[in-house]
Amino acid sequence: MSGRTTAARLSPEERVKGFEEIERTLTPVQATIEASRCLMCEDAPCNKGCPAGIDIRSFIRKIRFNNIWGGIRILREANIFSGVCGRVCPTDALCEEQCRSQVLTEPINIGALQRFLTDFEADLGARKRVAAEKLPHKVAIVGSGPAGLAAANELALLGYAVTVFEASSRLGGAMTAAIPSFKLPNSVVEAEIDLISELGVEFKPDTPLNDDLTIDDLFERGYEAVFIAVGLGKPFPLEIEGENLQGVYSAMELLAAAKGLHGSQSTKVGKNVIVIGGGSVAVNAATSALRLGAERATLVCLEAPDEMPAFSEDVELAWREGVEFLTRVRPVRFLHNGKDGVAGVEGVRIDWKEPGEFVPENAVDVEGSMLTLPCDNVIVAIGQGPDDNAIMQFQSLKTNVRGYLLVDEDTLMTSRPGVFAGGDVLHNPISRTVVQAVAYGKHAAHSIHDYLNGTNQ
Amino acid sequence: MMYQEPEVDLSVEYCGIRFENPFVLSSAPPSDSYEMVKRAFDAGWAGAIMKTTSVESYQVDISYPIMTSMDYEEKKGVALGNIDNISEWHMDVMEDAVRRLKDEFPTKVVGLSLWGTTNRDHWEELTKRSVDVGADLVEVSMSCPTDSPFARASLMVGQVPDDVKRVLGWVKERSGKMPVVAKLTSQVTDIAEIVEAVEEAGGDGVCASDTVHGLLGIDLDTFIPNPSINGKSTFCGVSGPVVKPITLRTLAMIAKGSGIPLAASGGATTWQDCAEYMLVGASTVQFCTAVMHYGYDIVEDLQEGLAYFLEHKGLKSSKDLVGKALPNIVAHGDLLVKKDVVTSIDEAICTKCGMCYYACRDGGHQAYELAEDGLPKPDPDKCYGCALCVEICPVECISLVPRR
Repeated sequence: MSGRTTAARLSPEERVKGFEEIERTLTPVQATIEASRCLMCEDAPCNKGCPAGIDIRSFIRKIRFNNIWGGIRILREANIFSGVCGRVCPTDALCEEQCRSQVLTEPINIGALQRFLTDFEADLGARKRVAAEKLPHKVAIVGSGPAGLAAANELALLGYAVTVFEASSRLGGAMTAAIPSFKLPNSVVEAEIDLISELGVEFKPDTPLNDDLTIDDLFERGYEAVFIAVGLGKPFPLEIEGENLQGVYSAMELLAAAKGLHGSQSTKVGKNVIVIGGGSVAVNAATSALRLGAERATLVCLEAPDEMPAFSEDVELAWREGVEFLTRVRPVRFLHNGKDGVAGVEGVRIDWKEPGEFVPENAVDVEGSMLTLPCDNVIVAIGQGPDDNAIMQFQSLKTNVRGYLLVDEDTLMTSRPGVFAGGDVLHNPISRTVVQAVAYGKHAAHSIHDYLNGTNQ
Repeated sequence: MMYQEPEVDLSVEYCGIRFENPFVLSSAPPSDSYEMVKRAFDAGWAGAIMKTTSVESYQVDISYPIMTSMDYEEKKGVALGNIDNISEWHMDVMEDAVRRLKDEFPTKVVGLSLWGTTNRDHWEELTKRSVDVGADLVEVSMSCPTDSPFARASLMVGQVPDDVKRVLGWVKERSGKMPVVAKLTSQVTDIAEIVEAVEEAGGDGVCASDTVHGLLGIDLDTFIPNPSINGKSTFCGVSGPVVKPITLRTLAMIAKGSGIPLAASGGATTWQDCAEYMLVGASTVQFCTAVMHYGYDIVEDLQEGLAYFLEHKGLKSSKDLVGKALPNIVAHGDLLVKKDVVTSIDEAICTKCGMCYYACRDGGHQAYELAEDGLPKPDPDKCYGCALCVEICPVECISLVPRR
């Protein structure tokens, strides 16, 4: 039994020179070899691991038996962002986790097979999708990240007139603003948004919810249901000394600069960058910093390597590109350069009070372990919360104290009838991944469908 | 269906019977009961030939285990071998299956496969009962079981033209309007001679071909071939991907010499295999081993894959494929004698493994040199254009180009 087939990759030396996509697509021969390793398990543990509900067993079988368009159909029926997810899903923690092929060798490379199909479709041109007969209902989607767009896609297929309101000038949310292009080129996202657009979904960029456009206004304009999927716009601060020094950026700012987004030109990356945080966003910030000109990128986090919440694939990638990891360290303050610029980070080594609880409150400083790290930039990547402007617009909706929306778990309906919410803006999302956002979008779409057709009233 | 489906017609006609698509279960273990075929029909199969059956008084002896297989390197089951016999269910059970299936699935095709040994009464009774129960067609099993009761034990009915004529004659006498199909073996010196016998006896169609008589392997500890039944074994019927070239050749040979309706059987796994069988003259394609390995569900991929292929080729109907490759098959002596192609290597893809070098050195014309860095360099003056290197290259970076 042969091992896992992987696509060709740019070498670490080549790839840090720019933002070219690191991984290639599988060749047809490779895809057939990989698909024919699949044991086609009757109970399909892979399927159970997919939040978007893709029938993975079936699409792999379709590659194996050369029914390529059938495989594409299976993907698109379940996940309109299959090309995105084939690239960015943490498959080892989802579909591949229980894959029985690892009893023989290694799990099937499900992400690469998925991408093989969507790349094939992109090369040949997507087949036309047919929506159900038009329904006399308008639905407003607020936010054009994967949750909002997946909901728009699903509702449009069901026959609804859908309008997507987006605060920024760009569609796609984190897919086009935060996930580095060397993992996910914008063209892939744009092509999948085009598929949604072809169903007749209307997009309104540069249209945030504000005092001129409230949830009340949406209902007044004839929208009968609203889906809020605005994500998280506000980076958490560390709340330590020196955080306002010049050269200190949030991960969102750095990643926006790496994506070349409008307004990010002021983010200047020096030779020696320190990133604070242990998640995938922090790791992506470190590898992006190398591409923006940093000669050295050091990731500083509370967790030991095997405790970091970052996806193992991201850590592996960063490690090979030369990112340094300084783990079980708590930043104490940022040092200045004698003026108002940052010049270093002072930190202290930590231990955990209770084993297995990797949260700041559980950290205890190791005495006499203070260390000083010189740097030109600090990137703070310890997470985001709901945007203040968004919270203002939620006023009529129930949130928790930190501004996260509270919803009925079964329907995703907020405290206001007809207003639904999903994705990262929820108080306690299952995970903050594209595929989980897609799952929320699909869930919300079907709840809205039930709501507007009276089955839940 | 979220996507616009291809606007093509998958239906075919065989022996005057319409099939919704070309995909049919062959007379074999996957069609041994009403319940099994019902599930197959629900999955999308257009028809089924029930597993070969016999009169109630005939004793069916089967020695288990009946299955063995051959793996090639990492690939499981490139060949499946069986010493199965015929169904352990007799005609009464099969009659009941046909009745229920035709009742529940009026658009599906249900055939019976008959076995009556040397006994004319058995053959006639089975045929009459098939007509009475409303079977769409019968297949006359001429190469399974593999021992012929008529002649030497090593011969099958389908290997002896006179036996073919004799048995078919008995069946045709009682079959009325119901089509009678001869299921043939490929293991004959001249398949045309056998098909002539079928035509002379009034056979309505041919199914080609049955499993290939073989011996799949011998246990090197015990010296007993597989499968072992109390320390002994026997020759088996070989099926699976490995017999595809034999089926293709048999179909083509028959179709080039005769216009008799052809059903393909043996070695098909994918829709491409089906398309190829149709291109050499088959109207329907029967499946067994692929279903035994992967389940009835594969028919979804057969239908969908073939539909997209027809659309891609600009064809409206799968009928348009039938026989289209036959004009391109000629006798070896009628091929042009030429040496006007040479190999060309895409060096960007080449992994420098050197397999082409060894193949050419020891199995070709010593046209390859290996450069200092390991890149294979074929010399066009020495290259005959035999294509061995093209076929064995693991990354498919070698092609044939016109000789300059």
